[in-house]
Amino acid sequence: MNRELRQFGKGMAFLSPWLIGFLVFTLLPIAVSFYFSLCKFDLLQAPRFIGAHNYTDLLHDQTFWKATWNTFYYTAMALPAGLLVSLGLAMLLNVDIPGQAIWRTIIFMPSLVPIVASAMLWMWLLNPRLGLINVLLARLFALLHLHVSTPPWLADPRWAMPALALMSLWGVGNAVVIYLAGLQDVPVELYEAAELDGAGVFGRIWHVTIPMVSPVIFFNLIMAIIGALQVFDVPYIMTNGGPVHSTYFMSMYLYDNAFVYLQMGYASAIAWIMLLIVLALTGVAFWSSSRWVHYQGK
Amino acid sequence: MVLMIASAAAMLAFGPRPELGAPPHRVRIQYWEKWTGLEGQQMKEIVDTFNNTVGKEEGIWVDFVSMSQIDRKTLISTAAGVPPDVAGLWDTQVLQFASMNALEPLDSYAQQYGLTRDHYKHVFYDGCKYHGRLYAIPSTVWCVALLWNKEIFQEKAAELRAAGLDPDRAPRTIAELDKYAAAIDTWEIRGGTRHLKLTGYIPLEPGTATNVIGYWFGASIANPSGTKVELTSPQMFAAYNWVRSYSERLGKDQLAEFRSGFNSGATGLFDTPQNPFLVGWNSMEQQGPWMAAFIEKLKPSMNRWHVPVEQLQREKNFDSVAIGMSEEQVQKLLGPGDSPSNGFAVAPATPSGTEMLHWLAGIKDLYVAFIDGKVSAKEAKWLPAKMRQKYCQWGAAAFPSDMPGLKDVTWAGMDVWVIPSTSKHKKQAMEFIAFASRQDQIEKLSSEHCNLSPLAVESREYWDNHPNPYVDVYEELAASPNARPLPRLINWPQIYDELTQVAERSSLLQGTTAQILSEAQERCQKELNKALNVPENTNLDSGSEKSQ
Repeated sequence: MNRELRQFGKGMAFLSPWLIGFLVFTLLPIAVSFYFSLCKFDLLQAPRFIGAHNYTDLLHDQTFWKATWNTFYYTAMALPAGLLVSLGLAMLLNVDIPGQAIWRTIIFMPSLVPIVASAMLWMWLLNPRLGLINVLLARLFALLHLHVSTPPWLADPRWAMPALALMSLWGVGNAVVIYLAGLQDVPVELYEAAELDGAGVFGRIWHVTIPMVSPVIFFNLIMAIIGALQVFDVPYIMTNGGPVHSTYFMSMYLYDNAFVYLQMGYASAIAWIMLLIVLALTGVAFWSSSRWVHYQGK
Repeated sequence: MVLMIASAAAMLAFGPRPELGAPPHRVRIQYWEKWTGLEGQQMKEIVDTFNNTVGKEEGIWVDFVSMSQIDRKTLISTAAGVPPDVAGLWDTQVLQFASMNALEPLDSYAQQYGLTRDHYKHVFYDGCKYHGRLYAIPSTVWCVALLWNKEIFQEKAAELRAAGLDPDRAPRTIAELDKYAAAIDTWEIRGGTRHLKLTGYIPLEPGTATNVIGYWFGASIANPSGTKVELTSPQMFAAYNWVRSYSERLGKDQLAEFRSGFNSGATGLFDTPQNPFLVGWNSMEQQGPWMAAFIEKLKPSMNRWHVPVEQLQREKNFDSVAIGMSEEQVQKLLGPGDSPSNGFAVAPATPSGTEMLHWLAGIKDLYVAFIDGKVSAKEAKWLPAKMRQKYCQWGAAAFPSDMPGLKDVTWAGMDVWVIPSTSKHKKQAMEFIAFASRQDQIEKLSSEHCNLSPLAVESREYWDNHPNPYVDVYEELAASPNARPLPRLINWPQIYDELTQVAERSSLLQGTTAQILSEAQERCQKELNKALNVPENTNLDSGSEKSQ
């Protein structure tokens, strides 16, 4: 018993830096932020309890609804696109071709570029007048004898969000690496068996690859949900929420309320709603996972 | 584990420490400032001068800390009870912070040091007041004017004359500005579609004062006591209808596409070589005095229009003049020199063996000092600001107003020094602010930042050496009775964001002007009531702020 206690004590001692950090810098602020969400609080004066007033105010706040809609809209575009592109790239990079390592490095490299640098780069790529994307599109349209304008991208409220979703694909390198690890775990015998059963390329992907990497897809889905709902830095740098709030996200509204308008209580209420949305969507993903996620050996 | 703890303890005990540098027996005060880079360095020089002079006499030592996001850091440190003793904020925060009792009132301190209303241009001093009390001291200040590209005006002289306009001057009324803009606008065909190539003027470009554009139409945006937002006045309607008129004339999509080509990003960056005014895509814009510094840095040729080629070359070659060079070598680089006698102008009363020689280089006077025939020092000095104007490819003038009789309208903004209310060394903090506000110090700082002096009277040296050739235009505007500070609203950052939406919606023709403004009015008043702790649906009458 004494030995077990000693072992436990040692374990806790090694764990304590993280545990104390988690309790003091994560759990406590989360708990306190819930109290603040029930207060009028501007940081400088003591919080004044106002009950659920911040939450009822949010219900009538057009900007909040706009930001919420934008967040879901972005998630609906960026999340499936990111999953498909990263899985597709991983499958291509899993094929044994000359220079495979170089291709893998090239695909992974953009995710190493700092966000600010990526944002500045994409502002140039998406520049309607001089940007590479529109220059190529214009040539393509000319080739096809199409008399249509190239998209104004970030300048137009209708195009700004798709532009940000497009840019989000730039950072799929991390997910690709995770998929690659999963793909390499798929037993070759399964592909051979499928081939013997007459499965073509797509048949093998659909009946072998996808089910076998479904735990990895599930992991990437959860990370992508959290990432997409918390998107902040790229739109903050590239559009600051504009034009006319078309790229204004919940996280940006939270930030503005907390640090620009000094309404910390209101910002805390937004944070809690965001947390609930993330929890709900993650919960749905977990609930549905029993139907489509297959673990080896189960 | 033991090793880890031992290493950490050793690091704490013997690890590196910041260089403190403060002599003993001095009260140390913390000064946080938003200026970084060169601007920060220039302020640091003033801090060093203080520490070595007045600070030495009074037993004060200032620790200068340059940082980004100073407003947020000051706020959080004040909330935590460990604020700096002096903070360099923006005018945007003065009312916001003062209304939360985060700032120390400075009236009695300011009086003691002679920093009175008459010492300053009134618009800046008044902008530092809240409910009759002074909460900040202006540091570097600015206002906005209309910049115009003289070269484009000349290129479009025929079109301008055909429209009955003078290509040798800036527009003087809003109606005239619109006519100038329309005459200059140029289109091109790309990919089978029509695109803007050059604009005369775009109301939202670069956006420096878009959210107070109502000022030029006689609007007030809020009542003087800051209890009512006034976005639905006829003047505000005229202002945003005007913004809208450019999208209607040029096409909202074409205008948006053209503007997005400037790559100014989310924050409306203008200090880049892609600035449309510098590139020559936009011929007029509303800008502050700092733009002169960016012109000199990013497109110096705009400051050297019609300067003789040999003088331009001379200015370039001046960089190669090195200490120890002979007179012959210098002459080879700079030419025979500009003097009435032997090619050299001898400077007045130089020490024995020292000869000061002089050359003209367009907007600069070049001086080289020789001792015994060898270069001992060199200096390039601006020509007096006003004399440089004739070489500028750009001009500056008061931004036109829409109302007859309403002249020299401008928005006057500023950086400020404040003392947080929980500072532990208020007296010493004020001693430092008073030193930095001395005419010699504040004018040096203002010139170096290419901003204006907040003082009511400027020195001759300031006028001559200011890097902005049009400093006279800006100074005159800042001293005008129609110079206006930010609206007296304690939640201005929030109202500012709402007005950004108003401007963008107007420009994109999303709804009628009346509809856009009335929706914004409702939201802004609601937010203001919330900030003022006024129950909803309370009708607050307009009133004047007694102190102002």
